[in-house]
Amino acid sequence: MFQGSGISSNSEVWLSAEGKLTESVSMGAYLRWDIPKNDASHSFGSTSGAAASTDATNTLHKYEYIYFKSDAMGTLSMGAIEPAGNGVPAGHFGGLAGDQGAAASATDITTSGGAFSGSEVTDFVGIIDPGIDANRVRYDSPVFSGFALSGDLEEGGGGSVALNYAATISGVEVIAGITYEADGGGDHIVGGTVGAKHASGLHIAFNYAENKTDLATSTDPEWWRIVGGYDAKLNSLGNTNFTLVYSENEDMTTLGDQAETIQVAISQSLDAVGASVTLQYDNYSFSNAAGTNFQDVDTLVFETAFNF
Amino acid sequence: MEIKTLLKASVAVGALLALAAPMEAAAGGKVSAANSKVDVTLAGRVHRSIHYIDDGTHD
Repeated sequence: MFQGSGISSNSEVWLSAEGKLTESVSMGAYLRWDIPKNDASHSFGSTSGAAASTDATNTLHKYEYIYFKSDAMGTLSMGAIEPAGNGVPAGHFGGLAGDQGAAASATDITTSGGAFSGSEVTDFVGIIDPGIDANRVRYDSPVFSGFALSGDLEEGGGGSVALNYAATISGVEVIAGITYEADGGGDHIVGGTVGAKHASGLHIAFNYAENKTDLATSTDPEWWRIVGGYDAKLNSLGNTNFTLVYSENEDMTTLGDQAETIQVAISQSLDAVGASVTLQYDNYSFSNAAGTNFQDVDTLVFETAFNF
Repeated sequence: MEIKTLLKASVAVGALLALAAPMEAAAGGKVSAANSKVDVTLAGRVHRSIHYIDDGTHD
C-alpha cells in the first residue's frame, strides 16, 4: 500500500489577476506553483523486493506569465506557460485517477520466475503530450464556429501549433484537436484527439500521439488509447462517471517494447465542496523484441481530490 | 492489505457518501489585492491517492 501520484504528481496553488486595459482589451498575470508530493515515487525495489518510497525532485515547478486578451483579436501570453499543443492528444470525457503508469509509479516489472527484469512499468507505458518545459510566447485565437487556433515560440528554439474544435451538434458534444510540437531539442510530437459525448451521458474519445526524434539511433515512441464511458447525475452528490480505457504503447524506451493498458474507473463528483473521489483499477501487460515472459502489473487506486 | 479488503472498504466509503445529505455549495469569497484596479483569484488543488500494487510476485 502506497500513497503517490494520481491525476497529477503535484498539488497546485495558483494566483491570477486581471483588469480592463480598454473596453475590449484585458491584461492579466498568472502564477502557479506545482508542489511535488511527499514520497510520491514508490516501488518494491529492483533487487530486494522491499517496498520503498522516495520524494520527487524537491523543486517547485513555477508557471508565470502575463497576457493581453481581446475578445476580437485573441490572447497573447509570454512567460512560463504550456505549449499550444498541451493536452491536445489527451482529450476525453472520462474521470480517471491518473493516466497510464501513474498508479504504478516506479514499480519494476518482474519476469515469469519472479525476478526483477530491470525495467519499470513507466519504461513501457505513459501518455505522449507536449508539456511545459520552457519560456514561451503564445498566441490563442478567438473561437470561430467552434474552431480555435493556437501557436507558440519556445525560448531557445522550437514551438508548437494546435487546432482545436469544440461544439454541441444535435445534443452531441464534440471535441477534436490536432497538434505538432518541435521542442527545439530534436523531438517532434504529432498527435490528436477526436471525441463525442451524447446528451444521455455516453461518451467516447480516441487519442493518438507519436514522438519522432531526429537521431536515427533513437526510438520513436507511439501511443494511442480509447476512452469510453457513461457520465450522468445518478445521485444528489454530483455526476458519476464510469470510464473504461484501452491503451497501447510502442517503443517508449527501447525499440520493440510494447505494452497494453486496461483501466476501469468510477469517479463521483462532490459538487457541494468542489471535490471528487475516484476508484480505479489498472492492468498493465508487456512484451519486448526478445520475447521475455513478463508478468502483468495490477493496481488499485482510491483518490480524493479537493479543489479550492 | 488484501485487494478484496481494500475493495470492500472503498465500496463502503462510496455507500456512506451516496447516503449522506449534500451540503449547500458556498459562494466564493473575494480576494483583496493591493492593486484595487484588478480582480484577483486564489485557487488550488490537493489530491491524495492510495495505491495497491501487485507486480505478480510482490503486493
